[in-house]
Amino acid sequence: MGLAGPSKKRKISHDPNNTKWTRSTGFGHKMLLSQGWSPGTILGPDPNNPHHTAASQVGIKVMLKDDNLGLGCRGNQEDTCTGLGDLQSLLGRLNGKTDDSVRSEEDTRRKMWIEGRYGMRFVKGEVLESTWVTKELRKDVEVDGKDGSDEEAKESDSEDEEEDESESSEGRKAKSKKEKKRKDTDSKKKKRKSSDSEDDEDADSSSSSSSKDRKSDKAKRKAGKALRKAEKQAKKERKEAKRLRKDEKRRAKAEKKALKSAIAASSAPSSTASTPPAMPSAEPEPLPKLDKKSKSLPNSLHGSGTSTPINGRQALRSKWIAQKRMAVMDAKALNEILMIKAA
Amino acid sequence: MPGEREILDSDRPTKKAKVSAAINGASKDMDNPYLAHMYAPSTASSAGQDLFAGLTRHQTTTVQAQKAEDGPLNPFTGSQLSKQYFDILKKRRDLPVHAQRDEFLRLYHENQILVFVGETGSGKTTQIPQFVLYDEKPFETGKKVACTQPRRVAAMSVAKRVADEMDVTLGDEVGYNIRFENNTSSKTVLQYMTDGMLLREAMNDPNLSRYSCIILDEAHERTLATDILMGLLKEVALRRPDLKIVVMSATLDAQKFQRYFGVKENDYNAPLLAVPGRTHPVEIFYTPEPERDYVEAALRTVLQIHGSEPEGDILLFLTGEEEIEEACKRLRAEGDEMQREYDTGPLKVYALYGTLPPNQQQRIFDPAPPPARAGGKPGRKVVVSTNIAETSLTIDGIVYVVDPGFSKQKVYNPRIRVESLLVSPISKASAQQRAGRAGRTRPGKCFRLYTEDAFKKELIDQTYPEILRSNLASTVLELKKLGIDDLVHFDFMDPPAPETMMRALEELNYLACLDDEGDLTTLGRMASEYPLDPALAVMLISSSEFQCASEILSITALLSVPQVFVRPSHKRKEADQAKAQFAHPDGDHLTMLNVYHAFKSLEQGAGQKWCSDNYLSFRSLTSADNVRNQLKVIMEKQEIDMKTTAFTDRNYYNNIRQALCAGFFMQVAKKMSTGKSYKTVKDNQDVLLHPSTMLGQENEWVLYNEFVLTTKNYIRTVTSVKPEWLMDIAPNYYDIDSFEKGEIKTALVRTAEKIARKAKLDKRLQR
Repeated sequence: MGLAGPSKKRKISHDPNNTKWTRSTGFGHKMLLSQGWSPGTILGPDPNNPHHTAASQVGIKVMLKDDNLGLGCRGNQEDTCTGLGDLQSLLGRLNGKTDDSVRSEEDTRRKMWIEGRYGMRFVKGEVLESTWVTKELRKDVEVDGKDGSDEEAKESDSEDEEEDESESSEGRKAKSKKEKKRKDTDSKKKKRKSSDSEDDEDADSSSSSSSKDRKSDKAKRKAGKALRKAEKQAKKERKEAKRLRKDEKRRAKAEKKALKSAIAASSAPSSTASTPPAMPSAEPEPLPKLDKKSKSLPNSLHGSGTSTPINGRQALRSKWIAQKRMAVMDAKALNEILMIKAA
Repeated sequence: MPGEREILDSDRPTKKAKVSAAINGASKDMDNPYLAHMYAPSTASSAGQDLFAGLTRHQTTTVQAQKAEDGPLNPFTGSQLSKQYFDILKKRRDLPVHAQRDEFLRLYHENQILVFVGETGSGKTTQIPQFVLYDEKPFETGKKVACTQPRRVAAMSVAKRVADEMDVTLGDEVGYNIRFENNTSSKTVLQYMTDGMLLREAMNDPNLSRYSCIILDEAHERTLATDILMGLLKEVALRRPDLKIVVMSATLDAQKFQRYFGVKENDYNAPLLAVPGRTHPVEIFYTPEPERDYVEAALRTVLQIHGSEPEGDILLFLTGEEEIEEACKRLRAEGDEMQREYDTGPLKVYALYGTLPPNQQQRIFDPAPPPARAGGKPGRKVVVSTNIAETSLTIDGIVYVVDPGFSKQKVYNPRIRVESLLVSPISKASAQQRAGRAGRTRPGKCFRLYTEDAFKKELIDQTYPEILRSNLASTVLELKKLGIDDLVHFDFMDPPAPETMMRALEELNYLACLDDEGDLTTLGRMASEYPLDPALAVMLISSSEFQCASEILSITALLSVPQVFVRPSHKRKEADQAKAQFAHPDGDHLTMLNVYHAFKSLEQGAGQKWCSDNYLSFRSLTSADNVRNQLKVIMEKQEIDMKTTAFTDRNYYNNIRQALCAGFFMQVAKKMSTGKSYKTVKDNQDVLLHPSTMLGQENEWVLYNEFVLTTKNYIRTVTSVKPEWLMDIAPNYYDIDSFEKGEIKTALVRTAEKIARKAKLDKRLQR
């Protein structure tokens, strides 16, 4: 609440948590000790039971609630800007989105909300089939239907699954590692090939060490040549890619702008009138889409020639340089810049 | 908070209580239900035995049981079965549990402990005990089947229903036993009872030898009594291999129950049988962003549903009485306006909370109102409820649920010894349960007034069980009485925090219920007989020393029921004026006593009007009267001297105040030299006198009944006392050396000097 809000004065005791009592070792403490309890442990014969909660150790801590703030509402949100969600369509249009896409977005939004006279808006969540039958329990039911209670089988099942999963994920990792390795070895092979061929040549005149030296020098030079060649090739490719990307770039630029404003809007929680980020419904929501774009953002930056992330002023500078370079590279753009009429 | 249990319990609608036979007719063994099992079940009809002839105990099958059920004679009474019986039987056979009767019986035969998970609406509460009954053959063993319920109302209503289903008279073959009301007889083979009642029985009969099977129903609610019973039954099961135990629960934490009741043979996984209920899918909606005011949002949502959704009743969950009444008022006004302005159907709004009189609670079952005019839009019913409508009460016809995500929950802080009801976020399990309420009759919708993100991140999985949120003083006393000395290794499903346990032991030690070795004292044994907080029980027992047993008995009863003073929001001034008539300058306890005495001096039948004229709760006062009678019976049994001081005696009120000190010496605060604030003795918390008090600000030492936790800390129901009394009555607690330096210590030292001086003077005078 601002200045106009009711002031809440509150006196806090010298020791509101009564740590004095906590530190003392009175009758209760002695009794528990005499029965085999040791400080810091929890009561009960099965202290390692996974079903025990922290509350068995330290009790339940609650926040005193003396307002009507809804669940998850943090109160002072005056400093965050709101309502940007409603501007989405306008921004979208300004940023060159087609009317159709804007309309479809609006439609999905309208579908999500049951908007009424009383101004309550809702987002559709999951459908509750039953108050308690989770997948696990369902499995139980089935298992029980067959042979009483093989909880263990079920558990081991899930464990297996877990293992499978972890295995697969590990496998994936291993795969990617393997792939990397393969690449490495490939390139090594290439190198070796070249050196192998060299070796073959070497084989004839391997007797003289001097010639070997010379040859190895030659090989080095050759390898260097090959490398340079490869580099050139890569450069060419890159240029090609740049040219290709250029068209994209223009579109991306417009999108980027939209994205930036959207990100700003979405980072302000109260302004996510569009939708909360985690939405189970399959309909294409604006935000997830934006998320994807936000992921593509650094890529496009990379594409503009700066391979390492650079911060601040430098980043801006390098971006400009990259843009300039790109413009120079593109004949059409160059023509435009130099105001040469296309033939 | 003394009397909390009592209040919680009397929250539930009660019939006019009869004195239980257990208390009344202790001299006649035959009538004593605790001893009934020692006598042959002479009334068991021979016909019944014949009808069970082909069946062997613990080997019956569904086919056999169904044959017995099909009649034509009632296997339990031998009489002809009525048409109503067969009508009900048809419906019973349709219940989801019935499909798995074979399954149940097989598991039941094979295991001693069985966990049964059945969704609401599966019929578990009414059917499983009957399945067990046909298998147990109670006439052969002479042992009963018990089914516990966390709530008194549930025990009564379910027993009534099952008696109908079995075509017997309630109280004969099927009965119920709840505190202050025992409706069973020697014929009873199936007994519904509150979990607290079974616990009390266990104190007198540690092996529960009257029962062949114990069914713990609604175990997921995890009441204090259920939790202790579970720990206890685990031990009893080892001593009594013939005892069968079925634990019935309704939520997701079945695995926790399985692990808890598992034994080595089944690898710590008790057998489980799960039966889904019959529910319809419920669509869940979240708000796109958090709400600033959940009450406001809730009301708007209800009105929006009323305006735009098809026919179907609405259930709105709010936290407390005041909030609910306020919401109802606004909904009624808005509903009328909507009907006028937008031609919607009529909106009927009902409140539902524990302290509501039973007849008003009953009204929530009224059907939705008809259209205002022929051909108009159909009417709609809105029930605004606390979380009692979450599991315990099922209202048919609910299609829409509005859930702001809060409920009032009890919390206990052992450090400052405060037990209070606070508004806190519900658990995920609770939220699902609430949503499930919308799918009872047809597919429904649940509107959650929080984001999906908040649901995932802000809510805990399961509601904490009561044992983690209560003062355990009376629980420890009960456990000691049950013969459980090793509290550290007692098998709680959720062990309470060590600090809570320490506090409980410490309190009992100061109250002299436990001696310094931790053993139960005579006083402790006596105190455990009362269904009260130990402090109240000790106060009651020691009141005879101060010649005011009758008055203290009245005060205890008054403290054990909901607030007697009514203060409607629109008539606060009048209510305060009415209260002032009864005011006693020395404190609120005495003010309440004045009210009670005035109430008792009324003519028969004048009470209701007098109460409403004076802004008093007739219901609370009658229930206090009732509780008083029950407690008096226990006191008389313990031969406590009920002689009292004459009202004209100069010390009449002083005696009462001293007797209050005997129980509440640990709840005393002293005024600080600066400001209006008081400081609690020993715990050193700054508190203020609650605005409702009749006590002036000038009293230096006050004793309080309740510590109210809000932004300001208040003490409510206060009475002024003298430090001399405290030091005299509780020398252990007021041992000056144990106090740290400060205002309280200085005052106590001065008092000690004064006492010494006076003693010296007295001695000199005597000489």
